[in-house]
Amino acid sequence: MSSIDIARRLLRIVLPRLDRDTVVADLDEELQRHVLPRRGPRGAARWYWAQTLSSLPAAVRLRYRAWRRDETMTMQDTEPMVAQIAQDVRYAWRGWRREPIFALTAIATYAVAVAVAAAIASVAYRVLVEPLPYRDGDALVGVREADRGNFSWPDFLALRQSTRSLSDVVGYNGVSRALVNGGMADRLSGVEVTEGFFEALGIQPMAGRLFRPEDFVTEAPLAVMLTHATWQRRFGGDPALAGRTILLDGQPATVAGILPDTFEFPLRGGAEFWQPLRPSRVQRERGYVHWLDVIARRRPGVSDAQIAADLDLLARLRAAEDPKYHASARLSVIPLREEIVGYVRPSLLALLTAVALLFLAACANVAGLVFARTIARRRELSVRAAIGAAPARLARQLVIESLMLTTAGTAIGSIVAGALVRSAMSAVPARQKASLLYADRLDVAPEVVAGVFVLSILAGLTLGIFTSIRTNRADFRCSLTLRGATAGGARWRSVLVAGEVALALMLIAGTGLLARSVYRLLHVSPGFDPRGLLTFRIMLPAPRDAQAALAQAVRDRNEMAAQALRDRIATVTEANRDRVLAAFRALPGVTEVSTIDQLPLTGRSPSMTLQIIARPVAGEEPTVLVRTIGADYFDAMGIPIEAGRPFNDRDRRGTPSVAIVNRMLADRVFGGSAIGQRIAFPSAPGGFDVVGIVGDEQFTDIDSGRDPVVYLPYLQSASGNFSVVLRGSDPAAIGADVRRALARIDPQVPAFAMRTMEEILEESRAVFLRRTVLTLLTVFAISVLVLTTVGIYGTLAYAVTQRRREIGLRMALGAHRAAIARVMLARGMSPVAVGCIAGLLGSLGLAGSLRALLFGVEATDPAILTAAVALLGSVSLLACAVPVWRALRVDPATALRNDGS
Amino acid sequence: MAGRVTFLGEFEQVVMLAVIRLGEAAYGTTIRREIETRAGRRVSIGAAYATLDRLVEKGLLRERDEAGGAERSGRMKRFFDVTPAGIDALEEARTLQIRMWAGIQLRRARRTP
Repeated sequence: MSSIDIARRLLRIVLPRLDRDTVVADLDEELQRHVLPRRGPRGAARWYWAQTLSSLPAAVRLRYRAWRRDETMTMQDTEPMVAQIAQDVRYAWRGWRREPIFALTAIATYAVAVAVAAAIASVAYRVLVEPLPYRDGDALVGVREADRGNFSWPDFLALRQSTRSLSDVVGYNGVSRALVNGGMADRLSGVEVTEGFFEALGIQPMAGRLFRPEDFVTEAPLAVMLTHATWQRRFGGDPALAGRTILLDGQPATVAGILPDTFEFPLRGGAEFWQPLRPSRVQRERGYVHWLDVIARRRPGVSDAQIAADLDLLARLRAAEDPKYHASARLSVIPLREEIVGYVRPSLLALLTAVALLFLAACANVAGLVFARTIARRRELSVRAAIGAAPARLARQLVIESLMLTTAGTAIGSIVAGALVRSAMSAVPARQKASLLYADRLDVAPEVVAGVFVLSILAGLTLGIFTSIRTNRADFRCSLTLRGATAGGARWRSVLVAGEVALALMLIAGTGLLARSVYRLLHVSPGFDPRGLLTFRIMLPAPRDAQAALAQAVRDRNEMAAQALRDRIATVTEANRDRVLAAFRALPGVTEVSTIDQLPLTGRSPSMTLQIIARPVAGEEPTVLVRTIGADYFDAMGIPIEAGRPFNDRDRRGTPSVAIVNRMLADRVFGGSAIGQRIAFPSAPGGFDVVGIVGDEQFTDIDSGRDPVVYLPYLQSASGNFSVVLRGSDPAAIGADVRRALARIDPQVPAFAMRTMEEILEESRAVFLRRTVLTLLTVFAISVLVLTTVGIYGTLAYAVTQRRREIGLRMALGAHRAAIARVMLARGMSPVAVGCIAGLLGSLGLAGSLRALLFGVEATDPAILTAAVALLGSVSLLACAVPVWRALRVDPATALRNDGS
Repeated sequence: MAGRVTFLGEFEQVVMLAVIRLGEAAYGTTIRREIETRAGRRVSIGAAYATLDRLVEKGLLRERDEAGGAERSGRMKRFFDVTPAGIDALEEARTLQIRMWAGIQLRRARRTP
């Protein structure tokens, strides 16, 4: 639209309908004929705007005159309708100015409800509905090998080569490397991806290039892609970084490109760099180590059934090729969106339900306020009716007032919603945020705001029409002369109060159930004692020269030399580790120190197929988690040794290989008595003697089942990369001492990811998902409880005022105060009782929306439902107390004398 | 006629004179341009119409709409011409002026030294 078009539109809007065409046509004609040829397009535009702006006052005068002419001619035209509405708006505005408390309360209540609803609905919309940030993201699927999840390299190759229903089969795997940048060493987590990964997702680099086939060759120099955030944070957004070399793990790596700001991959949320996946020889050859996550794209037009058939066939082929490890292999796909956001869906759906309840409660409350005010305005409305205002006109007045209320509330609420979303996101723990889709981009969705506006207009219309029906039914002449009782209005307010009570009860019950779940989660024993534990990760560097020599020996296939070098590296690493742990042990307040390769409750870890030599119980080879631990691990964690012995310093290289299994594995595979059994892994066919059985500890997350675990001693498979668990009197305070002790030994080795075990529990996904919902539900429940209390109080106080005369009369006739109190209480509490029943039914109906989040408690838990009813009942009684007390203080004489005036 | 107490404002006179000058060709564009070129006064199209509208309402002008040509994409052209009452009002205004001006010689007051 050109600037002349805008001016023309402006002028047309202001001009009266009958003059629009002629006036604008005159102007256009002059423009074409005289102005354009003389002044050129820019001068002409200036001229047009000058004409338009200087014409506006006159156009307003013209319009006013046209309207006045129309009004004298006929009352049915559309123009005066607009003017009348304008008048209604002004009238309502004056009313609000006279009673600002009413207007502010009603608008604020509605605005808060809109803000919360829009905020939560926006998050839900973006996360659950909006397309994934990849090319044709809805066609992407995660491929899983049943009961393990991830793939081995040969399985991945087989899938990529033979599938006919999927294209773009790519894999990824988490890695981590130390970056030395500006003299500071820092550990970065990254992802290694197979060829074509970014192309499959449709991601283009912001600078530089994507990986090329030659980057995937094992001996080629390392190339990496950096995320936009890392490029900004660690390299100051250096525009010439792409193509340059950085140091990763002390080795040069070329920065191939920078990923765009919009790129996110929540399945590996914390990743800072991406590198080509170059499988090691071990990975290439061994089909039983499952470590690769796979995604693919469904081919266009392929049905779910076709994919299932295709994958079934593939699995059977694999089983025939390799019966030893793939006898039971099954393949399945789930939509990538489900894989990314599936875990937050129950939380979001529960929140949406809760916010709907809150919204309804706020609507009921605003409706109550508007009813009360309409009743108070009966006299005014009656006067207007008496001097000739048509009922329709009065009705329109009420509808417009309601619409103004909800529109103002929506406008304010939509603005606040943005701030709400942003502040809520800033409260999310960083670990959880990393795996949340769109976490850094969440804001109010325009679609949601539009929806809320439509909803608000409907709400405003309903409210207005409803009030005007109620008002029209009342006999205006009657209310002019009498202060007639308004039983109808009071009854409707009671219905609203009952509704609010029902909503409040549902919210309180939901809050109670979730609070109980979170409590249970935090108090369920994870199998170890989390109190007093500090954890952090250390990576001890291997001697560089030995490592290079080892690589050379492996290339030369010189197995003797390689083994000697491995031993040398292991000896140095063990010595370094001993030095570090001794230093920690010497710190004041530290009682136990040990190590494990991956801490419990810190996410998924690769699993292995276990082989049992001389198996007593027949069945499949089980898949187990394998953990390498220091000698005192069970002591440090407080895990009971149920049979046999723990590891000790004699379990080292050169002594018989030993293992400890957990109770679950012992029961499932060995029928309880595992001591003395021999187990093996395909990668370590030599086998291990089982020397002990320990209690189960929770590994994946606290709300998931326990896994069979095999523990191996650190000294028989040393590595420089491990987590330290350190038990002490005040774990949070020991952190600084740990860092100092470490810096004294080697300033290049950082202690990272330092957290107390209690923090790990608190920040675990299981707790986070429920606690977020719980916090919001608590706020909602309290708000609705307050609204309800005010509603109960208001209704009863109004009834008392209305019935002063009746109360006075009863008292004069000798009624006892107790009887009067009983009548008034019954009146106040009956909507509460009705509401409670409705609320209980509602709670049962909504139980499903919460079920996925409950832990250790049933959705219909009678204790919690009873407690919710008791809480609501007692608060309602309190709300009734003041009006009842006032009723009892009615002085019969005054009440009777003052009334009927 | 009792109704002939209509007084013309100064701008109203200018507009009516422009309409008379233009004769058959008196419509928005031409009227506005006539005033600008002859009276040397800037006039917005809106102001012109506001006055024309008022004069029509007073019965001093008549309007008739005709379909416009291609340069207006067919939009209406509103032509104006003066009614007898308009002529009377203009006469009145002129006589009034002449009477009031008769015998007046303007001298600017000298400044006192």
